[in-house]
Amino acid sequence: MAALAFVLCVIAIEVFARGHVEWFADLAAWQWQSKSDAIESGALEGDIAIFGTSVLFHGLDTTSAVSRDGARIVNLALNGMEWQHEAQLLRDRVNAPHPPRLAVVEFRQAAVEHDSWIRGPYFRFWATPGEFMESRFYYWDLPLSFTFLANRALVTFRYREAIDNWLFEALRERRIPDATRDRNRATAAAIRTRAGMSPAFDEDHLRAYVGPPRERTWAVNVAGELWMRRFLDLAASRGMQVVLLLPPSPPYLTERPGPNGFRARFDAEVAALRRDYPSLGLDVFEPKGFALEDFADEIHLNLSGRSKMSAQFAQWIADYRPPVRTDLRAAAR
Amino acid sequence: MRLTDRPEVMNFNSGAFVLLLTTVLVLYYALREKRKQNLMLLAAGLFFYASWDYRFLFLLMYSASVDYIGGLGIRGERPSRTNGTVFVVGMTAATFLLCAPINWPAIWSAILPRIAFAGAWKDPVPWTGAFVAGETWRNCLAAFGALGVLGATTFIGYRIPREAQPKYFLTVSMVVNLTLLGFFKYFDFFVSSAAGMLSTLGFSVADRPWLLGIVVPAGISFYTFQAMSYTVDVYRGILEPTHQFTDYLLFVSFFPHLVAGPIQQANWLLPQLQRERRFDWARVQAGMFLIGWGFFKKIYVADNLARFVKGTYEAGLHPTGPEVLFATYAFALQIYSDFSAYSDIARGISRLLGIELSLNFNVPYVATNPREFWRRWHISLSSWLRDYLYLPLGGSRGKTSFVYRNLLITMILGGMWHGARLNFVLWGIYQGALLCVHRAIEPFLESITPSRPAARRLFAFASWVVFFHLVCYGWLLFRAESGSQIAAMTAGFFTGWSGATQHLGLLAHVMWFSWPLLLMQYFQVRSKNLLVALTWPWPVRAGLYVVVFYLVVIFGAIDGVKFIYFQF
Repeated sequence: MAALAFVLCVIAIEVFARGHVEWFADLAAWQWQSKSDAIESGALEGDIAIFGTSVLFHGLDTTSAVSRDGARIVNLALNGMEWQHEAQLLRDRVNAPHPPRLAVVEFRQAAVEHDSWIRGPYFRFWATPGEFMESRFYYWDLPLSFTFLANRALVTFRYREAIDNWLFEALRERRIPDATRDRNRATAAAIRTRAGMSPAFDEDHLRAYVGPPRERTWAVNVAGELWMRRFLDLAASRGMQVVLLLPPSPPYLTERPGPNGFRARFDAEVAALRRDYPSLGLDVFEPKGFALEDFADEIHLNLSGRSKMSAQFAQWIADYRPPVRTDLRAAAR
Repeated sequence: MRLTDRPEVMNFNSGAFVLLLTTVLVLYYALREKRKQNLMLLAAGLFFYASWDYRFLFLLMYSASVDYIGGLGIRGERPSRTNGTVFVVGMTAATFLLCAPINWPAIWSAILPRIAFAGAWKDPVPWTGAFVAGETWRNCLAAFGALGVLGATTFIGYRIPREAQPKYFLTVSMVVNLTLLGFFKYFDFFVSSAAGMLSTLGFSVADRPWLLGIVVPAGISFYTFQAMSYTVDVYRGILEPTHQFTDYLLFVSFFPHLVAGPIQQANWLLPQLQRERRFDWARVQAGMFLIGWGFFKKIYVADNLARFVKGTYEAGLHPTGPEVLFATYAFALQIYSDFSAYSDIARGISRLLGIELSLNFNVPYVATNPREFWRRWHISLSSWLRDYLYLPLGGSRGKTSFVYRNLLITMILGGMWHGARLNFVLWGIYQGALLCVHRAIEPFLESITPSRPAARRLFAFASWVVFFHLVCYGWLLFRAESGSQIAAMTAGFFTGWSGATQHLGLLAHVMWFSWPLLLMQYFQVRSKNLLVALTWPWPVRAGLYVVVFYLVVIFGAIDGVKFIYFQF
């Protein structure tokens, strides 16, 4: 009897929590939730879709960008996204009523960071059980399935830190705090009105670096390559075009010359992908002219940096003419 | 992977352990037959231990082999042909597989993604180099050498006169187990101490001379003590030796208590493993409660307090009196919650398997004197020390000075059992001194105990306050990183009291994470029943489960610290 009562109480509490998530959800979680809701409602359907991480989620505002043919541009990037998530999101989008025909994808690395994966919002909020299985339990870590199940079954577990903060705020203020709810509502509204982008890091500034020279690196690992190619395979099978967006990096990160330097390895990777996927186009968009004061940290842009990148992107997409598909040209002969 | 590289033991509060436990329980109830259940439990125990470091599994099996042979030899018996074959073949295969330079983790890591991604995984690094780069067959040869020594001593043992055999095999068992324990746990400590002493005497000594830096195998303190209790019990005639090597190996490697106890005396656990087990719903219910309560103590109480304790006990800090006091309270609660949680979970799991492990903690902080404390704290260790060390030394018989000597020796060795560090030795000396002093003043205390009930209760409360703080000072010795930190914190205790109110937040922090534990202990003490919660009406129990569940879900340190006693 006690066990049954316990289960019923837990169910009641979880249902109540699920209905009031906006009151306590932390920002990262709410951004994923809001974007998911926006996508499902069709608010983020567009011919041109941006895929990427928090770099583009907070750093690329496409509301003023207009393509040559007037296509709608939407920002589907999210904090903590990895190549697997982008490939699965693309699969979901190409099966939607209005699939994108051009994917602009952040091409900062071809690696999957394991810790970022299992600690990031995707694992906590976004991944369906099927997608989790598709990653083979995040690379053969079978016990992760328990944490995954706990995240899915219990709203309180998924938002535990947020609830902890909210309860202590309530104790401190001696009232029901509503600042989090107001922030979350504003975030959801911003995502819808700004075509999927959410501002962040606006007032942050990267400090000048003092120390030995540091090198910009091109990170690749097997998991990243696997999912990147799945992304490109899917795009190619649907006749899409893909643009690779290389975000800027702080000026103090130098690019070593020679075959093992960043630029040589990046160019080699792009060349290899163009050989393997001739139909995708695979143009590269690389915004330029970023100074230290445009960065919030080593990878994210602040308000100034976002304005620059968004303006350059708007200019670039206005002039962008997708290359003629070599497979269609060959077929026409 | 070197012997000095230390991976982590599979924590009870990890997904990996939950997965192992679920699998074990499903198979256990599906198998039904005792022999199959035992083999499955044996496989689970060896897997559990190997998940930490498969190479040290050889040590555990070797120790078990020595005592298995020792038990039979003491009684002049030999294993049957079948059991002997199983033993020889099993140990030979295990020695090769565990000690040869085969990098099993690398093989597993290389094979698994290929299977998981059906060939799509293109690893640029070839995985065919499965043998550990740079390693030789040295460890394997040494292991086979050790097996050879076991074989030779066994051969000699069965050739000497029958009347000498019991003492011979008992001695071999003691020497091997204490050598393993002494080498892996104390070699570096004694070398460092000797070097320090020589340096003090003016001799020139190299920096960190002859130190091996070898990792202490998980649970070695527990399983060697357990193994020694087996041979001693057989020698004393309390227990019949087992002929089944697999049963004995299961006794040593029974996974719920393998790495952090409770230490089980052979005459208690081994017969249970050899008997048929019956399903008992009341025992299963109690087991589930123990597991749940254990996880609560670990995840909510111990791991949250650990962060606070760590912040004050960091090396190099100079905390003030209130910080020392509150951090020490926190550590007293942390170590109790942590260790008793492990014991509760171990006992709970064992109950689900139809096995009863002995009680290890009986609300120790209600004790008003050191003798009572040691009847309630780490009962399995204190019982072992009493039965196998204190009583053979003479116990409480003889002159007072001999009794004090016996108490001090027992407690110093009990302190050293915890580890090869000066602070554990000091803690042991301190505990021994408390026992001696209490013994000396006990008649005086009895003479001043009031006869009136109210005054008697007040006296008992005062005794409790004084003794609890004496115990807490012992925990300061136990927790400190070095002798200088002990001195700094002891001196720091007398400073900063004028600003004590500024630190009330620390005390509130400690109380927030310990109030459920303290409340439950109040009910346990009042009813003299550690499972009193199971006697409450169902609405109260349901409410308790909901509160405890959500305290863990929301406030628990889910990515918590490992159990403290794993390091012993």
